Amino acid sequence: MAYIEFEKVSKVYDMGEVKITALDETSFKIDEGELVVILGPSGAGKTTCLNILGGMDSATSGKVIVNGKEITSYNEKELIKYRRNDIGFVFQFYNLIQNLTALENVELSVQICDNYIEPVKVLKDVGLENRMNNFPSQLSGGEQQRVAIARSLAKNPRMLLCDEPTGALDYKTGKQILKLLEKTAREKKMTVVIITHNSAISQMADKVIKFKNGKQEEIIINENPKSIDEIEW
Amino acid sequence: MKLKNRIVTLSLREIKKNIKRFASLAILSFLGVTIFVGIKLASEDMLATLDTYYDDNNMYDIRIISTLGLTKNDVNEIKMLDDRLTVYGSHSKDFIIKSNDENVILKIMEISNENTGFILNEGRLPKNKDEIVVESAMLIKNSLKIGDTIFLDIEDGEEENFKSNELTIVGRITSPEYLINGNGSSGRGSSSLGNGKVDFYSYTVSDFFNIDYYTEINVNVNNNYKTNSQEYNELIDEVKSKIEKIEEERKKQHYNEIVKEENKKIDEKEEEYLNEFNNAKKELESAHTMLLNGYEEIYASESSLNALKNQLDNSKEEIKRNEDMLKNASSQLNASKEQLESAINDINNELSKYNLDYENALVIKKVIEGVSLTKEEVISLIPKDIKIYDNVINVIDYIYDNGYSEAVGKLINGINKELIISLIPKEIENYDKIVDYIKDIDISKLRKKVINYLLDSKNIEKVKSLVPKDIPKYNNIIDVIDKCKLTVDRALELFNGIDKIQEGYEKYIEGLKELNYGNYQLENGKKEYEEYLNYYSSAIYQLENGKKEYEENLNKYNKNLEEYNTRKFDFEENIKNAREKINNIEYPKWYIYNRLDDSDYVSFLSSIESIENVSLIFPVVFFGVAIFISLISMSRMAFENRSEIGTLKSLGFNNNEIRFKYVVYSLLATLVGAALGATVGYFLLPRIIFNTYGILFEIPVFIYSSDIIQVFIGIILSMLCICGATIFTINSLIKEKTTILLRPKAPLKGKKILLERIKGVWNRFSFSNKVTIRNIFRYKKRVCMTILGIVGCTAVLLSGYAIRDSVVNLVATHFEEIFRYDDSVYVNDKISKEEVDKIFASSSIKEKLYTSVQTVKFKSSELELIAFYDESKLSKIITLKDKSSEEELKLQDNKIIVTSKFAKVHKINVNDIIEISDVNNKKYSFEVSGIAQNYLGNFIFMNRKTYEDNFEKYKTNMVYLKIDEKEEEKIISELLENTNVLGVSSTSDTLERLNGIFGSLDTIVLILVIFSGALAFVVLYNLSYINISERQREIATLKVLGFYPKEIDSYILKEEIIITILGVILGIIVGTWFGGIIVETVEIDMAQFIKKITLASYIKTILFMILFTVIVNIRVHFVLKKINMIESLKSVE
Repeated sequence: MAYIEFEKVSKVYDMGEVKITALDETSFKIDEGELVVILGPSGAGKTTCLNILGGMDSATSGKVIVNGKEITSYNEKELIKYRRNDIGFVFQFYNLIQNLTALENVELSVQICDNYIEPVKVLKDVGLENRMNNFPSQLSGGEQQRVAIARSLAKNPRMLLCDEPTGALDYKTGKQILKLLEKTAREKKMTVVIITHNSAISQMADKVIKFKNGKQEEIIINENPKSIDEIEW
Repeated sequence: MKLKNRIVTLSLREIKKNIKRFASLAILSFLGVTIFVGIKLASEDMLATLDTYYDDNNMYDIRIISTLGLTKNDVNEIKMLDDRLTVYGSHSKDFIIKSNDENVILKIMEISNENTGFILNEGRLPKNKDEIVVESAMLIKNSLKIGDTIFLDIEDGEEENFKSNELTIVGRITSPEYLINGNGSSGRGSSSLGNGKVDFYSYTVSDFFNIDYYTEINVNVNNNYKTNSQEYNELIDEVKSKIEKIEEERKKQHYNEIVKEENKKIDEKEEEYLNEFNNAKKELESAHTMLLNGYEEIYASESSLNALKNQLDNSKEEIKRNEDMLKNASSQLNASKEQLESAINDINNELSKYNLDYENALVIKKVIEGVSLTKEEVISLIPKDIKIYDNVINVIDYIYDNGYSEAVGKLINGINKELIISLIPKEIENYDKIVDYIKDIDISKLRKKVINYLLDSKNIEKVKSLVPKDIPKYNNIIDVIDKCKLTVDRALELFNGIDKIQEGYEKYIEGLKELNYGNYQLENGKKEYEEYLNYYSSAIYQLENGKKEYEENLNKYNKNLEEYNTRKFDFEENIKNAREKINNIEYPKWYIYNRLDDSDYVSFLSSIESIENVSLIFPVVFFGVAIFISLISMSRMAFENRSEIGTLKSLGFNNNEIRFKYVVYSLLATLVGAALGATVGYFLLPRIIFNTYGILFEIPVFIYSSDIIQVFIGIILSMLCICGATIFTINSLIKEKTTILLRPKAPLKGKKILLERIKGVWNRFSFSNKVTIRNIFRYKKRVCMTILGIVGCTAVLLSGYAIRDSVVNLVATHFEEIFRYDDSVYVNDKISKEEVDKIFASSSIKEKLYTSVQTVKFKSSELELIAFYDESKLSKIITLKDKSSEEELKLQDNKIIVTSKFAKVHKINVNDIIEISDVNNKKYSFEVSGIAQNYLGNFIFMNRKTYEDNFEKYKTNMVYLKIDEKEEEKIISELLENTNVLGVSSTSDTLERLNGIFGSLDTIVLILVIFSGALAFVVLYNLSYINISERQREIATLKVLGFYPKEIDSYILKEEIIITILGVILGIIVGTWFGGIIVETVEIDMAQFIKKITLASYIKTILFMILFTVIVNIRVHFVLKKINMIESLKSVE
């Protein structure tokens, strides 16, 4: 039984005259501890898929089973609990709370968690020991993203979902972030799902799911994922 | 380690970050709560203040006034009605005092512990009857100060009742009996003196008054109820009806007492004087009797004097006659004497032959006559041839035998026939024939015979012997005789002649004697006459004096009598008048007043009522606007926080946790504002409103009511509104899907609008205009909200003006259009119509309308019933026209016309039948024939016939006048001098008083207009701000595309202007309607506000809105300018 399982999941936006199919009966599996990269061009459905997995969106049809639980049947309350404790999400544009410092942002996310890691520690882990009391506007893009990651990690989630985490960063910074993610995945044996449209990154993944037109087109399994240090693009 | 709640941190940071928005919410809350609490509490505080003011100063609950005064017994009787009552009698009186050459009417009331007290503002209380404390206004208006003296003009006859007429002002006071501010000109009630208005009130000690009755009785009912609360009013009604139950009995008693007393007084006086009069009368009577006697005496004297005069006159005449007679007699005598002398002369002449004279002849005669014939001689003389010769002889015998010879003897002298006859005894033979014979004897023949016998020579010797020897010329005589030369006839002739002469001479002598005697008597008589004349004269003189005296006495007497009569008459008249006056003592009327009858109090309550009415509307409006703006503001905030909410959702926060921030935010803002608002509303606003009313009312204290509930209600309301709006806005956001929130809000889709289909019109628009119109339809929600906002603010602004307009013109319009009189005069209803006509006969009175006015009740409302003496004169002074159709209404028999407000409140229609009750609770039913437009007061009109058919005989008690303006004051003072005029009230005074009440409402409305304006401004500001922030990208793009700032401005502003114009137009319409509703709500019971908004108000409102819009638009310009192209376009995507 795979840890994460998508079974014919569809997401259709019905806007009166038009119907937009974001996901078209997509199905795939992800095992626990896997580092998965979801590839695909814009509009392929990658983000939609991740959103559903992260409990932030609902599927029109199909099932998503995580750790044996069918999250697509969750009601609102259950979804909140799911997001609270099981998910760590990293956005392309960080989505930090502008009015809170880096530390506070992390503290915010863990104050509702049952089982969390000390925010200071996590921030230290991500190398922001000296930037803990800065506001997002005072941090660079990379620092902000590291805060976002720290925020997610501090929750001690079951999985880390990252939607184009390096999309707004330069090459070097991006690589640093990816390194962090990799480290988390390997060391903590956490299931990490990364959306990117940079195919080079897929080399670090255990599994690569290629999305096209709302469904997985191809699922590639990397026997020997490379370390991000080794990947150049 | 315990984690700090970062949601809380977020919430607090949000406040700090967005302090302006936080502040605006707080301000909204502040405004709403201030207005709510402030106005609600204003009326409560004012009531509480009044309550406290009244209670602290022992203000009476019930006051009784009697037209005949009240007694200690009345006080006691009332006390016994209920043990909750404190009853005491009091004195008061109006006086005229001179101040700056004007007459001022001052009411002086008595100070006592039980009486209504007052507040001493300055100085001290009066210690004796020559000191007084007066109201502040009196000092101000008459330039007086403490220490000055005033002089009272005490009316004649009342000097005993008041112990002083010079009073020194020792202090300045304010009394709860007069709430209205004295600095106005409404006066202190009506008076029967001067121009009918009491100008000022004052107090002094009881000693000042010396009246044995009370002018009023005050009753305090022990209670804890609030003034004018239902419990209070019921309690007072209860006590009042108890008093009314004993009213009749008390009035009767008092009246009877007074009548008895007065009668007694008159009786005593009458007695006293009657004694005097009786005495005087007696004196007069005796004087009269004396006079009468005197008169009689005089009359008698006069009579006798008159008689005397007559006599005197007669005497005089007689004397004259006698004088004449005597004169005649004298001349006769003289003539006789002459004759005699001539006769003697003749004889002398004759006898001179013989040397004899008359004297000798006398002797001879005497001798011859002395011859006494013997019986035989006599017998010889008798003719022998008579038949009865023998008888005669017998007789002669008899006579001589019986000694009667004398009778026959001297035959020469003749015979005394009667004597002889008498001597003849009747038994003689042929008595009768003898008698006849004797009777027939011719004396002269007999004498001749005798002489013949004698002179016979035989008998001569006898004769000669008879001659006395001693006489002169004896010899001559003897000689003569001897010779007998005389013939018998001649002798006889001579003897006859001598007889005659002797007779004549004797007669002459007699006559002379008599003459002398007569003269003597005449002289005596004359003397006597003179005496009597003198006596008479003096008597006359005395009589005259006596008469004069009598006249004088008579005059005196008459005068005394007159005086007596006059005095008696006067006295009797006085007694009669006095007794009549007693009859005219009117049966007393009691007037039982409670606080609601005090016009000051009612004014105050009306003001409170109007505030209360306002307090219903405006807080609602403010909170409504608060909700509206909160919605706008918070939706803006939500918009800004979209991604944050999304993030929080993604982090696994539930909705409540996410809401927390916004609840805290809005709650804090609301509470801060509310707390401040409550404070200002509780402490400041009522005070401000109260002070505004201070222009009208003179209440020297202010009490905050302890009603905090309103505060809590206000705070809760504010919370509900603002937090509620917040939560409502946020909810819609929170419900959205996380992913939607994380994505930036999609701009609204552009669509083709209906107008585009009208190709002909559409093609005429320029591109920018097309865009403008499309945008307006695109941002429907925002456009609607903006229009709504503008409509709301315009409407509120206009409503504020509407109230002001309706109120401001109300009073003037009422007196110009409906009740068009200058003055109303209360008259005594006991006088006849003719007397009323006389009172109002002046030519300066242009119109007069006689009416009978009384207060009646309908359900629990009081109104005035006016019956007209002459309904045809009605329209000259009162306009009765139908409220809706404006056609003139005519009074119909047995039907009534009611006024519009009254009809509206009680939902009365034409042809309805309503039941009213009079002061005695007697009920009457009438059909309503018309509803008349009216603005002030509630009235029922009927004609005289209706009145007389249903009530009692019509009696005019109120006359409405239209007076020539220049003469008005003069006419009024003239009217008031008439005792049948009980009071005069002029519309100008009423106007001032009412305008005062409404004027303060004006101020409040003005305050509200300002608030509304502020609100309007905030609304527009916020809305435009939102508009721009939502379209920042769009605007930035325009900038990138190279639009000039002016073009960008116009891009936005064109929309704004169109929206504003639409909003204002709609707002005017809504405002007119809303204003009408508000006016009705704010209306007080006694008035029907004229729902009229002046053109000026419309213009003002529009101008204000334009002003706000312009200010906001200017700001828009600056905001647009500030939009940084790059930053705006850089934001999340």
